[in-house]
Amino acid sequence: MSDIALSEYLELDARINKRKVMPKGSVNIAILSSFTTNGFKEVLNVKCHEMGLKAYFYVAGYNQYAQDLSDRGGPLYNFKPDITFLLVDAGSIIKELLLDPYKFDLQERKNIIGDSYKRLEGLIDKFTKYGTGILVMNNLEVPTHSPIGILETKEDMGLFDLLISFNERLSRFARNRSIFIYDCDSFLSGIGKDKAVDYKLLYLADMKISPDVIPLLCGEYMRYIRALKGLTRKCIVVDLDNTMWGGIIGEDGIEGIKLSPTGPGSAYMDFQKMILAFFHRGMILAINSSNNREDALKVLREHPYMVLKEEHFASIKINWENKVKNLVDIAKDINIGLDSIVYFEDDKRIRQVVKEALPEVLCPDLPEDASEYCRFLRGLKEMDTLQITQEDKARGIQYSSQRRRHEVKNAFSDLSEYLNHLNIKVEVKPADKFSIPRISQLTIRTNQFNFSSKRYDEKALARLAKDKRHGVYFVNVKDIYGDYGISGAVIIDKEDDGWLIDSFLLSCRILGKNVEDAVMGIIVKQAMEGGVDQVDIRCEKSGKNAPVFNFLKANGLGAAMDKKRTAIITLYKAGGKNKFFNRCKHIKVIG
Amino acid sequence: MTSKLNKLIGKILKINPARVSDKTSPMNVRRWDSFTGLLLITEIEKAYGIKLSMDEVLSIKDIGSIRKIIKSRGIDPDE
Repeated sequence: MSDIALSEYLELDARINKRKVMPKGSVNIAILSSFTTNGFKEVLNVKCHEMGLKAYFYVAGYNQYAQDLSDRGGPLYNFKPDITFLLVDAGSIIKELLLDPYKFDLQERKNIIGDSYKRLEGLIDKFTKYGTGILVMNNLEVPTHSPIGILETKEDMGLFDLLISFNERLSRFARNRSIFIYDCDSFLSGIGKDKAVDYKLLYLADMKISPDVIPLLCGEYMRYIRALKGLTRKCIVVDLDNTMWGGIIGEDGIEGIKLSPTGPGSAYMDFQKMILAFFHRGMILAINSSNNREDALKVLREHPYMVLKEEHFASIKINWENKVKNLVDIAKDINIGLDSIVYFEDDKRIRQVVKEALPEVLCPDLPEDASEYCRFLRGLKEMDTLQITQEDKARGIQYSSQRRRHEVKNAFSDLSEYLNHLNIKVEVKPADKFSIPRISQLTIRTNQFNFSSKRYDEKALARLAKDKRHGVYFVNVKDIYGDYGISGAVIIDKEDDGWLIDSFLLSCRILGKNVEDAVMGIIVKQAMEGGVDQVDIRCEKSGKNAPVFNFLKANGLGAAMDKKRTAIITLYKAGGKNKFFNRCKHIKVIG
Repeated sequence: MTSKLNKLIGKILKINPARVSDKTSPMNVRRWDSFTGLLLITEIEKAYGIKLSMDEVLSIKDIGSIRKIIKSRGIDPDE
């Protein structure tokens, strides 16, 4: 782990043009702490700026976190943070216990830790009631020194146990709330707890974290901001030779390449296993390799120690094409943006070409030696999400069905014949607690077919779903090749004089089948049955949502967005007809 | 040749190194607040491979006092 010095961040921060419009929008960040957090704001500001985000800050006064969290009408909640970082250190809440734990007996120790836990839980519970956005809170650092030395682990609920139990309770409490516990204890272990503090600055300025560590901790915090703003990488593209195995298949042959349970081949096997673990949590995988296709596929199919198989890859480009072109084709195949891709390539020159031609693709410098590959991957922090849904876990199967659909599609000469063959079923249902995490995820991740590009967290959706003046719906899609799962959402403001569709989005996986028409057909049908006078939709150009305008054009509504960035478009007026089913006769509508 | 110390001070306090003198102090440099002052100390510690005591840190009034502390370690602050 390394980063530039804090003083350099201060300099960069001072140079940021605050008036510049940023391409990825903005984020409201609040920082609350029990100690001096000078520098955090500046580092986060620079890091957000580098990502294309404009950041606005609320930094609470020194040790003012309790007041801020309790004050419903106060400055923290008025600021309407998207993300709030809460840094409380053990020293500020249980200092006596830390310094001299065994002057207290077992029961007293438990009481002290229990009381301070309850107090903190009460405060963060207030956040879930009064606050907006998510709360990210550091857990407590477990000490490395005990006054009873080597006997520490003999004690029932000794000092270390008390801190560990505190952290466990905190994580349990946060689990089903919009609170994320950042495992600061593990982070500090990674740095070295003793190195993470500059004691002079601790005693002179109450800086509990050394200036060298602040940029690293802020780097960790950026993972939440990236996930919150949907700026994470969704797809890992791998090169094969000297990346997935040692050596070159075209020269060394299937018996000659290094890939085995013992070294050095085990370094590649472990790297593959780590990538497979990412696949299992929902990352999309693809291959971009310069080889004879059959040579390389033979390894995927027949090598006994190959961990990643054909079925794990959503797109496979093994050819002698330019690798930049391959990356563009992969993005097209999978229907994701280039800015969703991270590419592992061992050849420095090719990396350079990719970085220049496709700056949106993250093309990190792979270590020179494969023994460092796993460490490198552990240090890559661009792939976080705020939740992992059932859909994520099933994504692998969905993409292999998708590959099969593509193969079949090529066999049909006529698109409508192919669409009929798919036997698509579309269902629109009201959101419930099982679907809300996925709906939130879709609002965060979907950029292409997204009318308003509004992001919603789970809490906001749960609130809207309960409210009678709103409707939150999700879209389920199936065809003969499988279930796409929850692949879209509609959020409606139900006013007396009509419905305003505030959000309508569909996952890119199901575009090109006129599912969007079916969904709008269902919504308008429901409105007509409910005697609603008018249905409007909010539409906002984001620079990425061109498919929305194709849909509008196809339905004769394209003119409404001419030369405009935003518009409210009328889809239906009392007395009118529901025309949306005209283009989707191949789809069976359920409900 | 700008001295090593002046260069470092100039960089962190964002002033022209040529204008750094022993009289440069929080009184005449806008960016020199208590936080930047502490960062300045950690950068000096790193650059010269020395550690300052708390008392020394508290005794710093201007660049002259920093120069004196570095010299007291037998190190030439300017190279």
